Amino acid sequence: MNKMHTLAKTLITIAAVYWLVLLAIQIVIYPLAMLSYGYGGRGSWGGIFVFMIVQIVILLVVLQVIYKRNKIADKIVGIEETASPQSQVEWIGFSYRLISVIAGLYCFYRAAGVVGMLIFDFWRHKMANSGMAADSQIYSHCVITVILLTGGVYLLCGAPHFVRWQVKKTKEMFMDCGK
Amino acid sequence: MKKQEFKASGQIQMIAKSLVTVCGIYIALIVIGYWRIGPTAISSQTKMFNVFFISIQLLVLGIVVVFMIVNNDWLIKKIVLNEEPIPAENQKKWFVSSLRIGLVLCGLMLLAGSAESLVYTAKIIVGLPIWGRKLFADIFYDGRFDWSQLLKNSFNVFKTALIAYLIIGAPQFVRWQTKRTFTQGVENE
Repeated sequence: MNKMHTLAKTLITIAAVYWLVLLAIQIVIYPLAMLSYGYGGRGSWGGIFVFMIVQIVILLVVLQVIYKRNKIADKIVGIEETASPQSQVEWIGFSYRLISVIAGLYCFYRAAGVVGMLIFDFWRHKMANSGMAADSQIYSHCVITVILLTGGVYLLCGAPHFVRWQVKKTKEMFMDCGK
Repeated sequence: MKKQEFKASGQIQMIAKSLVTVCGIYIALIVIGYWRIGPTAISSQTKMFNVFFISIQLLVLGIVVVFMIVNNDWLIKKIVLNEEPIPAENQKKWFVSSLRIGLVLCGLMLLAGSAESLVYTAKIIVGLPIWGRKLFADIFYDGRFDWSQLLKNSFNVFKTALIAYLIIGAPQFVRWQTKRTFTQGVENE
């Protein structure tokens, strides 16, 4: 088992454990939250039942991922032996750029959702002429879209200033913690 | 015979340890996020139910903090048991860099996921004098206090501050966590 295989296996396990804990929390807390809202009607119980079934199915899939993590890691890494990283310092800049791109993609994904809401707001406003509250919501969604798109573009470009600043600060922290 | 205590000391183990810590922080924030839902119904007839709900949340939060952030070696042992140890100095460097990178990612994801909080916080700060005046009038003239609004606003401000702190790399937290992890290791030896 090479280093990359171990790393892939570790990341898969951590991601799976993360989803497992979240699902377990959701299964316990979400129905309680629904009930504390006062949704106790017949329809709500049906909804909670469907919710629980879906959550349990996802939970089983995640458990399967944990159980078969070796096979999944094998498929990701393949049989090629990869050299281990010589120094973590060389990896810092790369890692920050990588997370910037991931966060940028997530910004775009979120922006797509907000644009959908914005279109719905405009449509509702046009149909019902809902007044000040709707205007405020449209304004909020516009601002959020601008923030997400601007941030997304900057992060997708690798956020050069941010990455340089973070690398500098991380190196300073090595010295601080080494004392 | 005393059982030998497991201590993360390999490169992947260090990365796993910091990532589990980051996951723990993210999950803890999600659990805290449910608090906005719970207390809204405090004034209704379901007070006992809400107390039970908040107790469950606190319990879950405690479990996540203790077993994923403070003492997560048991989980690392299950994820990566056998790995060649690396020199102590490199262990520290791997831990610091991966924890910091993980926290920055956590902050950026939170920022993308809750850009609404930024807008609400800006609104709160801009409208603070008006809101304060309204709050004062509500308490002294009408004798009522809008808890749900206060909780909502406080949560948004807290979330924005936390996002900013995570994006700058949570330096104090990383230092504290590194110091704690490696001092604990020396004490155990």
